[in-house]
Amino acid sequence: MNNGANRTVPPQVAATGVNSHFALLRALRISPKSVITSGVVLLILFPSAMAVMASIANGGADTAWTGLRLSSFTGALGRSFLESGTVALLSLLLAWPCGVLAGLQSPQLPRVWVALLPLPLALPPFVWAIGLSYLRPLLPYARQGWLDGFSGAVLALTTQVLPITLLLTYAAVRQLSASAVDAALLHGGRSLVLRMALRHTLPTAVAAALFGGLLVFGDSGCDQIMGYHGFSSEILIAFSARLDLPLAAVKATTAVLLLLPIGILAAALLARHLSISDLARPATRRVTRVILMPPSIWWLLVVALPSMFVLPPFYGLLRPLLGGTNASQYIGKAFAILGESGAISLRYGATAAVIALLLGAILARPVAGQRHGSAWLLVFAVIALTLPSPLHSLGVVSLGTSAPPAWDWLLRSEWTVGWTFGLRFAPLAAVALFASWARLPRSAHEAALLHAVPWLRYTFNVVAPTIAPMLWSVLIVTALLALSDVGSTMLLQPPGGASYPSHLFAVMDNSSEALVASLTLVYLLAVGTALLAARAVPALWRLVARAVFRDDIATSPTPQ
Amino acid sequence: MTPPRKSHRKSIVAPILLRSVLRAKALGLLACFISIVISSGCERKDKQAEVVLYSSIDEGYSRELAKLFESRSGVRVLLVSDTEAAKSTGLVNRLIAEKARPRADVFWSGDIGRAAAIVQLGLSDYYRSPQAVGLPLEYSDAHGKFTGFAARARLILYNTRLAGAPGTLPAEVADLAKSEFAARTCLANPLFGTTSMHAAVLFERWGEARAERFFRDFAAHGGKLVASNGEVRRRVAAGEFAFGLTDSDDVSVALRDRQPTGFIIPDQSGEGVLLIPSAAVLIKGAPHPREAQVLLDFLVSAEVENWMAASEAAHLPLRPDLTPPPFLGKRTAELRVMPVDYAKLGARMQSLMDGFLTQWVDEQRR
Repeated sequence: MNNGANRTVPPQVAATGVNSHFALLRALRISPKSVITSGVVLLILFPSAMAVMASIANGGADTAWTGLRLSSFTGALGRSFLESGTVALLSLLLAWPCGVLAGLQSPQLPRVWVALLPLPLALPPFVWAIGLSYLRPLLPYARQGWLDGFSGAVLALTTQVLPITLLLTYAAVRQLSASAVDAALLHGGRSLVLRMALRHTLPTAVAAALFGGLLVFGDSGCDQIMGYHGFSSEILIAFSARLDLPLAAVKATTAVLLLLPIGILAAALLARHLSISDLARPATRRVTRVILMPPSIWWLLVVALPSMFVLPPFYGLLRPLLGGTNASQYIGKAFAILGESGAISLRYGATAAVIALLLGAILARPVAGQRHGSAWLLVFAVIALTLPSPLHSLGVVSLGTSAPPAWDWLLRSEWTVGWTFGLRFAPLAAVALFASWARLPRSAHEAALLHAVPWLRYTFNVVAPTIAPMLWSVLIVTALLALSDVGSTMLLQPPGGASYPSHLFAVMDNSSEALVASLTLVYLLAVGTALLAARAVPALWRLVARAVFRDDIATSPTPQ
Repeated sequence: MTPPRKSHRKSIVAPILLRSVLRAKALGLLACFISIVISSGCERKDKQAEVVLYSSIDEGYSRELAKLFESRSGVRVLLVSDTEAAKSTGLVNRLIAEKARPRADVFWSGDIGRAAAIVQLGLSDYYRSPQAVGLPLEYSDAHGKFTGFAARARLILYNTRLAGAPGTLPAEVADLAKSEFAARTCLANPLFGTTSMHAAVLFERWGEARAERFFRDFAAHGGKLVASNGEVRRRVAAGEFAFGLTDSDDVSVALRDRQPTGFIIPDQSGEGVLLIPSAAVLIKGAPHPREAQVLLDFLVSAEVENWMAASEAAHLPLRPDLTPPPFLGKRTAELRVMPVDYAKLGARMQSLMDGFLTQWVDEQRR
């Protein structure tokens, strides 16, 4: 007589080794993919959970609940919601059409512009806020409030969210196949191409703006500079003024719970649009260039309009240097700091980007094209990104402290900063990647299966080229976001391992404004040069793919 | 038969060679990039003695002093810097999180209040440096848990174009809440940094009723809150405000940058100017205790006080015989200094954070 155990666990489970585990999972109707995905989800949430658990274990949670003045806190949360919502909306309204126009009608020079587009992300938002605040005296007294409080914070934060939205929208347009554009052009002319491209990119643009808004939701520096008291200020007060980790954990958890319904609603709306494939065949060929408007108007809309958010605060930051006498001395000092910390910064950014991309790909692949899976991924991303970055980082510090010294190579080394930020930004990478992956035609996948193409070759030769613009954008964005989160870097960096932005952060309050301006200028020059040099990487990728796989293709036997 | 073979060989050999070169080049470049990233991440394995210093002193100064110490002692200093500006979670949180297995040997706090908090949290160890000779005892912990030295003073910074004639300037901190000054004055957020400590001192010295009235009057008469003392300096120098209460090092920066500013040493005919010493703390369970003591000896020495006074840091030496920062022109002994029991401030600051100050800041930000 068969009992329940025999029914659910077939005899092959008794076998030893890896196969037996897979057999057990199969028997329990759990796919290994689900196990891996769940593992990644837990891994991403683990540091923050660790911080919360540590505060509960210390008995701080009870007092923290009493310390949480709910009316004041919800007021701050409402103000932050308004601020982030305005930033997201403003970024969407500007970046969505600009990104589409940039992608469809790109003359030669904007390639440089596209390469430099993520540059504003290199600097923490509070630096842009300081740049804007330097401009206040240039305005008439009655207008100085424009660069203060809510409006000032929105302007400063938009310098961060606008490039993310613009870049991802641009990447989404570049995924359109030439044949789709040609067909639309033939059928309905340029206006139809524009409408098709706008429709194609809207979900990506909305998701980018939404998640950009979430990223700046917990940014305290900008709000502090602009004198706007939001959720991030509440967290900062708990952390920095009161040194009360349990209170910060309680506030963060409350914020997640209050934001969850909105996140679920947004996820449900977005998932349907992000998980469909509307391409007939692989988009391996670049999108056709479509002349939609005269170049002068194009320049005004695509280049000048977004630049308006970046150039004024940049000018504000450089003003002390422009009028100073010791400019060369300060710039020399900034280059010396760059020499000391350039390699460290590169490592932090590169590690974070690669880990975010890998984990993001693991999360994105199984849900690409699935509506429910996509919705869950979006909800998870909302939760993960709403949790404040310092909570995540302090969780890693606690983990490193409680783990045996044998784990120091991972938990307390020069790699810790990179992988911690990799975990932090993996949900953002996952959202961008699954939206991109979903647009990969199913026919391509089926054809690969039918011809038994090895998955590695299929990934290199079909998937990667198709989603390459998005992969590249995700790498750049996550690397720069990791570098600009100096507050958390300071918690995680090994002694003596300060990144360049950390140096900037550590001197900016009490040093000469000309030194701060020099550090900012040199940093932006270095990142700009790196971004331009990084344009060679896709070519390198193609070279590698060709070198590694062409031999196989050339020497593979012809199918009979 | 032969010619076709020849042509066939040509067509095969050339692409294979090209592919080999391409592959070597591509993989070589990739290997180079990976090795650069990995090698920069490898731990240094040399045997040089080292000490870990967590510092909330501005990095420009702490780094130079660390280099000076390295050249003298041969001990490498691994520095982790923070800024007192209210934009970070702060090194103190890192120290708390690392309590079970500390990485820091010495914490050099720019604000003696934070050092007192470290002591309260049980993170500090006893060490009374022999180099602390000459430092007044009232600035150090009675039980040897921290040593106060080079200080900043809380000064009133003013914009020379907006402030008015010398006789009409505020002479005391209390004047800043009066209607004739408050509307043109800014104050850093009193929940953070040295301003939080100043607020706690005012509550200790004046009592709750008077101190609360000061803050309420300041707000009622149009006084504004800004993010940090650096922001006070920037806004006063830019002409957005005529007056601001800030630290002496910010005043020094404004004067050095030739901004249209001047300063007032407040309360010289009353209760005295508030000094905020920096403080060095030996961390309990420090991984390099011997080197930590050597570093602590160096930090609290007269040489470092002199250096901090003469450099851009512009800190006031607490030793009465040392030369003051050039911009101030007065020795500490020549100033009327507010007497403060710094050890008591931790508890007062905590109660203010839980009560009046948080509520007051909340009201200003709405």
